[in-house]
Amino acid sequence: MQQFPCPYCGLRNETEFHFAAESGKTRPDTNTPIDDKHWSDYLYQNYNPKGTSKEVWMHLACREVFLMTRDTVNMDVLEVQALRGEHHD
Amino acid sequence: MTSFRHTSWGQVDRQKSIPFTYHGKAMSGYAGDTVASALMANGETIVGRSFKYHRPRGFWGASWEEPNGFFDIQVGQQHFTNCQGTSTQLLAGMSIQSINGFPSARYDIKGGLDLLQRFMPAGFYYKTFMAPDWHLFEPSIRHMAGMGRLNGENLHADSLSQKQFRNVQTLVVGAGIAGLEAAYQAAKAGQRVLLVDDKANPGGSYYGGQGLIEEQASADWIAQRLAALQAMGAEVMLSTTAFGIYDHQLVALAQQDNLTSTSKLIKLRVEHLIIATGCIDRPLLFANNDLPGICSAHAARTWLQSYGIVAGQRIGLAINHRGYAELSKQFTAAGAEVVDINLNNGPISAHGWRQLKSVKQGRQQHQLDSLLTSASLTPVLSLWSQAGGQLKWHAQWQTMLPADGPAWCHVVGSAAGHFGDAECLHSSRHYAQRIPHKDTAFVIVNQQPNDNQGRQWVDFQNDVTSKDIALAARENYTSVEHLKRYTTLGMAIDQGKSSNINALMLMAECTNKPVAAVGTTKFRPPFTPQPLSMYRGKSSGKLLNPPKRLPLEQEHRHMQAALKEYGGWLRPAWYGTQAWDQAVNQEVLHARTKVALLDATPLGKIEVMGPDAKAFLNFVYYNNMASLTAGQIRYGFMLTEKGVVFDDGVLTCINNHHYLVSCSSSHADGVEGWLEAWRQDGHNPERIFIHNTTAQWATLTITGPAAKSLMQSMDWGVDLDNLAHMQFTQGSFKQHPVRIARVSFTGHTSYEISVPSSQAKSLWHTLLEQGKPFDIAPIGLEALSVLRAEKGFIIIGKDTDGETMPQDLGFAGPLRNKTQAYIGDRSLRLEKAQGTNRQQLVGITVNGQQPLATGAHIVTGELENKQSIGYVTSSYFSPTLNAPIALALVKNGHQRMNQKVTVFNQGSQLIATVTQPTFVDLEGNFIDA
Ligand SMILES: [Zn+2]
Repeated sequence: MQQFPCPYCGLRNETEFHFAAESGKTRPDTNTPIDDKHWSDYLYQNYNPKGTSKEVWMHLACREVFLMTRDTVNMDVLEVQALRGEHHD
Repeated sequence: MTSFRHTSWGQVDRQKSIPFTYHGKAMSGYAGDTVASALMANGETIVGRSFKYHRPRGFWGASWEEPNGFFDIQVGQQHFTNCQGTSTQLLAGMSIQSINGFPSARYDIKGGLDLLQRFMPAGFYYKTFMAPDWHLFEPSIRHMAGMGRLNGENLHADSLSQKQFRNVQTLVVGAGIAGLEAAYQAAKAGQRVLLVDDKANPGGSYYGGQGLIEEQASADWIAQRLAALQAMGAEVMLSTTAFGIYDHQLVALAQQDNLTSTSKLIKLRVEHLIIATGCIDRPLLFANNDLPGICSAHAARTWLQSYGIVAGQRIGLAINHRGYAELSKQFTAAGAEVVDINLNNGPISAHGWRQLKSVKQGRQQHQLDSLLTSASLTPVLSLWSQAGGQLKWHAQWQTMLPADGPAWCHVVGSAAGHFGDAECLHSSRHYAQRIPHKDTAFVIVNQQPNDNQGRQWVDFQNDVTSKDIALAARENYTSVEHLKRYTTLGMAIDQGKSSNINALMLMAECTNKPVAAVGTTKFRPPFTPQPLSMYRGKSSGKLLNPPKRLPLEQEHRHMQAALKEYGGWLRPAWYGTQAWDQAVNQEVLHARTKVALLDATPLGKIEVMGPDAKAFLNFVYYNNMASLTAGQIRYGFMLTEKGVVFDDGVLTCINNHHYLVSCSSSHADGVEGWLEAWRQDGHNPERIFIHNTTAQWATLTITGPAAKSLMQSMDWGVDLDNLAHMQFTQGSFKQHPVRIARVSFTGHTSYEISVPSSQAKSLWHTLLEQGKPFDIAPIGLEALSVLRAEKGFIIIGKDTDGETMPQDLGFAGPLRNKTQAYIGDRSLRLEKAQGTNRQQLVGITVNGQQPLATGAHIVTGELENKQSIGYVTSSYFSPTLNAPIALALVKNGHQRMNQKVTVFNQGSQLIATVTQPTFVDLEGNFIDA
């Protein structure tokens, strides 16, 4: 059982969390033409790195989405970062 | 072996006699005995039969490393299989049977299998079961090789097992002198300390001994350390096994006082782990080293000190190191004749039929009934390895020692190669410094004690010999993982605790590699077998996944509802005491002819608010939601980015900044999480707010031809005359807010009436009372399923699967017309989505009265060419039509209207017709009837 630090609630058991996606993907603007390859890369192409991985997770208890950087080999959590403040509009 | 009980030695309580039976024969032991010590005291020497050849075997180990003595034990009504004799405490009234020996270990009728050993070499199972078909052999081999019997009646006896979640700063595993000292140091340094040991008593190899520790009687030294620990607030838990290390410094502990007592699983989060688990003997390899009477020297010492069991009258010592200096004196003092065998004088061989009679070394022959052996000491490093610690081969000592490892773990004492008391205690005193072991502190007598005369047993329980390992090497199964599977080495109940190192050394010899290059198999939890009932704890039956309960459950029960689980909620399936199909038919007809009342409270109610709510929802839904105005309701789908239908439901616009997402009852949490993820990652979360209010509102639906009249007969604080289908309004019900939506899942005029959950009872009774003139009656979920299927309304996940896109369900409009981006849009324009061979939703009708089987395949072609083109997703008897109806997903289904197809189910097939997926009220007149 791993423990992850929610930026809002602190250290909690992994069963309270839900993996959303690898970080770093931007949804293509589907109002513009997008070729099949570009779209399928967005859907399916994941790095699944051995080592440091930056991911989007949700803490189900508070419903907040955040970024977590962790090591997929030794399971160390390296950094968490709230999404708030990331927004550029 | 003619083992006997010493008159005064040992820690058993001779005042308390414990009666038990062994294969029906009455025997007795003392309080403090294990099953093994009690049997030895009663002169039982052959206590098990090996797995493959049924060779007779005696006790070998002190505790969990024992490979031979496993038993079926009955205590009262409870039955336990595969109990390890050396680690199972003796209880009064135990009825003990040896396993893998019929009728008993001593008189095994399959003993002759040993004569066939030439024909059962390593890889026997691999080779035999290749051809023609392993199932031919399976029953007889399983019967022969079976380990214990299961008695199906008493499997759930241990229903009281508990789970506990805890944390400490420092966990010390092992309460021998190394662990006691390390725990003492940690507590002195201010740490919150927990010390655990799998034995019932602390002291490790000093328990019950008469030796000195730091010039003090060992019992006094141990008692002083315990008292000091207690004074400092440290906790000591005995009969507690640390069996697993999991991610993020979680240690699993299993605590159980004895076989019948409640077991407890403790999930312990630690900051530091100190491993003081000691070591065991590596078996000495020589011809016939498996004869009963030959055992681990460490085990024999434990039996003597703890239980007063003297292993034999004439005891030989074949100890290949200088680690057991006191042993000879100890056994002489206990009254045995002791013969020291110098392994430098050449290889030894054991002789005897069914038990040890003599040991030969060159021309010398010793008449012995017991031989205490140790090739070297093997540190117990399973926890260290599980935690990520490395192991390093020490060639001089022929053993694995801890190397690099995680900073939070420390190995101390003999587990780290600190053999000898002074080194051991020194390593514990400075545990954080990781004192290196001294190469000179331990000496191996003979580097090559074995030769190849006669069979030398490596894995006692699974009958793996040195020749089997050589054969595996010749056949190129040289990696340890392959070796293990090919020879079954280390795969028995003991998981090769005693056999692994010998196997590695032999494989290294066979392949001319250094041992370090052979590697070792991974250590995985659990260290010792743990009962599944302990993992389960109380999480079984209703407690495994408790259903959500309706505020009106008592009202439903009062009306004799049959309550079943639907999507995690306990809901009425039907009402009344008649047969379920009659009840359902009656309820369907009632809803079609009069007015029915349905508890729709679990329906997902997620409020979406804020200035960006409209644009957000238009993006989240497949359908165009931007044009929805206040008071309007629209049916729609949410898709995944892969274009697959994820949920369906209606969206209500309360006003331009306030929407109500109504999703499937079983899906509310999933949809809420989905919306939240898109809100926070892709939109401005300051301008959109999401609240799941499913539990705050109770919803009752009235549906049927008389629904409108009933509604109009009541005061809702708002005019309902002009409320059309798919419109929404808010009024009041007894001074409380009420939300009224005209949405229909039956096809008939329906009103979904939502009030605060606290008003659910009031609304329920009012509707039943006011509905009397209209003959109102409650209906359950089964009737609703039929009503919706008659109209072809789908249930996501039942009538759709992981590939269903909206156009497959006949909803292609937004795909053609919606101009704004939405989730999944691009996927709907991929080649596969546009393809002609998609499974599409259709209706299926058959003659007769019998509904099709749900899941039945729609097939084309004959006999071997038969191919499935789809399957039945929903199937019911429609009382409205007095005929069976079904929905199905069928390839190109929309092109197959009115075609005859074959429906295949479990060998039988019949002819059916593809139809539109609507069976009742094709024109849609019911909605305003
Ligand atoms: Zn949180």
